[in-house]
Amino acid sequence: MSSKTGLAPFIHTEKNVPYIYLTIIVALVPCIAYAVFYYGIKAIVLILFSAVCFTLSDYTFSLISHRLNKNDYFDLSSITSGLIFSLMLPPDTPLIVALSGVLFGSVVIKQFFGGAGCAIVNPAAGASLFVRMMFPSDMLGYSSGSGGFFDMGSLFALHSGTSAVPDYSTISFAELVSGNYPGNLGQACAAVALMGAAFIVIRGNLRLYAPCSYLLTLTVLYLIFGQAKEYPVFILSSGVVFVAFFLLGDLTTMPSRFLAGVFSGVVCAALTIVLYFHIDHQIAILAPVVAVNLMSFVIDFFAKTISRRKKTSREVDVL
Amino acid sequence: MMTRSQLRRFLFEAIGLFVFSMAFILISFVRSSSNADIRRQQQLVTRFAPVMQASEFTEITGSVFKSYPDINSVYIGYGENSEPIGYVIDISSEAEDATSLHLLIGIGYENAEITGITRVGDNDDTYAVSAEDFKMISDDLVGTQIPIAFKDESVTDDSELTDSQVINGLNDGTYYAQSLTADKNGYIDYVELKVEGGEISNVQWDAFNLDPTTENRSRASLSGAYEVSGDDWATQSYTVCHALLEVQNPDDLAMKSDGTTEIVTGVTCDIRPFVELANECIDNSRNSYDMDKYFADMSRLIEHIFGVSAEDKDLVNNDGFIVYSFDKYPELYSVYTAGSDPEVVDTLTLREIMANIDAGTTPGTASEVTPEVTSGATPEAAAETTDSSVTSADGDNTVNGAEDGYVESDDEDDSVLSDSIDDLPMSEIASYITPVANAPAQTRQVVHMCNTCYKFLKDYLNWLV
Repeated sequence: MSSKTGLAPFIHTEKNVPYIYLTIIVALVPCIAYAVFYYGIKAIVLILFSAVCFTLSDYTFSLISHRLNKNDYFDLSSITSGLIFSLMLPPDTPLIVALSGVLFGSVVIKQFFGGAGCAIVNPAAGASLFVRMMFPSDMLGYSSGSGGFFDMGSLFALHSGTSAVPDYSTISFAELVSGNYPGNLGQACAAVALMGAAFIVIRGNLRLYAPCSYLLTLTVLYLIFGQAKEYPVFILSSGVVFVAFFLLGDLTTMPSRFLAGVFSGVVCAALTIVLYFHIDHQIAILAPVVAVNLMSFVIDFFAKTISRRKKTSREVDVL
Repeated sequence: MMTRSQLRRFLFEAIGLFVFSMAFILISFVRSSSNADIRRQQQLVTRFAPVMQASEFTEITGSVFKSYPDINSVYIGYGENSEPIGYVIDISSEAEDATSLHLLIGIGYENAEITGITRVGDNDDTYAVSAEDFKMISDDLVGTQIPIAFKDESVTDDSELTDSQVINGLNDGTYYAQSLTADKNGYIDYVELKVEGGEISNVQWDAFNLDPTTENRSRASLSGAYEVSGDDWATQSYTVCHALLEVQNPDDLAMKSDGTTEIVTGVTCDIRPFVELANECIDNSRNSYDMDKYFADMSRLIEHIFGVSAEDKDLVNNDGFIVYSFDKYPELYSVYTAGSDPEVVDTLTLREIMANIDAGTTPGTASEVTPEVTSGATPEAAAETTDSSVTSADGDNTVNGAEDGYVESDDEDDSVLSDSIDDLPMSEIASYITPVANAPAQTRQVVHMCNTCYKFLKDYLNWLV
């Protein structure tokens, strides 16, 4: 009789990898429901298409590179990345554009760096930034579901529609809270993003250091450098709440320590405010996330060094 | 690996989260919808203000958009009393140099006039036209009725067309004629013809039904209750009316012996009633027998037959037409050959019938009715018409000079009805403009987009102008 066992240390916990990713997928349900309610069938198609393509792309690349998951669980990270990526797309995004983002996120950002758990940049954030920089004119399809619940015409077009980015300053507070205005599929309603975040927090799968410091710093800096009366519009319509909890809360690509998490959130927020008033808003939000992801190893290293000056005991991250 | 109980728990939590979030979304949607509607309307009113002053806009949708890829969206504008005042069409079109022009075009609801044109000027709009030139083009087009062509795009010599085909001797006014008998479906055709400046300026051909609960033929064809081969009857009626405006002479529609014509694109129905009634209207015009006199005589005829007025006999429909088929009284309108076996050789018009009645000629003895008695046009008037003979004096208006689609003309290339601008027959062109001197190509591009709007609206709304 033979048994295959990995190397020590062994940790027995309920919160294994599939559990964590499934928690995030369930947390995304309110955002998906919101997207389907406002944008109809095309939202379902775009979301499922991105998730399936991300999974297939990851599987195919792993197969080619002989790096198939040998563990006894199904890797849900691909589905999670595909879902988060799709929820940051405008509703009229053509499938071909979504596919290009998925392939970039899956192959270049995730698989080139070792696959699940090894990516140094959040694949969804990287993919989203990629399509926004490569296809800026196709990221303007904010039709507000005017074509009807079953309208899918925009999905199969080569280029997105030309609906202008809505003027958020004219939107009432009730609309902002409800997300009843043209916006990205799952980002526009901060309230449903908060519901999802609350679920992850309850499940204990979210480090709040980075998201909280990010949102607090954004608030302070926006009130200093922006106009106070526009702050509710900014915080509710720009999608920063979704980004805070679903990108900066990522356990793989964000620093794990308290100090590092706080520092990352502050830096990310500062960069966002600097860029927000000068370039495309979505790029201004996503680029700092990618930058912080790239720096997270260094930040974590220094945070570890600083904390070891005071502690001698072995550090264990408490989730 | 996760256990089944964990998966079940996740499933229930996902369902719970879904239900909770949907409840929130629905409630917040209901509470914020009025605000969203007001905001959207304000945005649309502001956006469309340069092309149309309306209080409210509603976007229209439909499968017809697939046939018009240039058209991004179409809105119908409503006035303060919620009455429709026009359409705003968002259209992008690629020019020959592969650049794109993006316009908002406003079109009036009643008269299909352009109410405004503005350039969107977004990233897609790369067409090379200066602001000054565009303003000149816009100024030229605003107020014109679509579809539009350049004056030099009229493929035939207009003056020759006018000289050779306009019927002389017409008196200005509105003239009317209706069939004295109903067709097999119970429809009574009528033609209303307006003459201005000695030329036919407006024509309408439709039919009302003996059954007061049946809608008129054009409406019935649009609703699918009345079907003919090819386009719906309303569209064909519209097309043939415009063709008459172009040629000015019903005989130049080249009606064949079977009642069809091949030179009016899209018209496959029997146009015999139209040609006959249009000729009767022309005859009436020559004799200053206008619409009011026609209706008065029709009432008199009813009274002559029944001894009571049309109103008392309940023969006047909601539109004011006298609805009666004189099938039972062929002696009133038939002209027979003399002899033991008389055959119907002609039919009389209402004006001729009333002339006979007023003259005391016994109806029914049609052989006694000489062509001179019932003559509509004077010989002088007939002589004034040119080589395409108009309705003959004796009422023989079947296929005058145009047997089996042949149009008599000195110019063998007179193909006015077969030529087209932007795939529109010239007979439909409503306005002719002169291109802006410095920007003829740019003017052509804008005109092309206006004509695309016309084609869309015609398709979408089954326009009856």
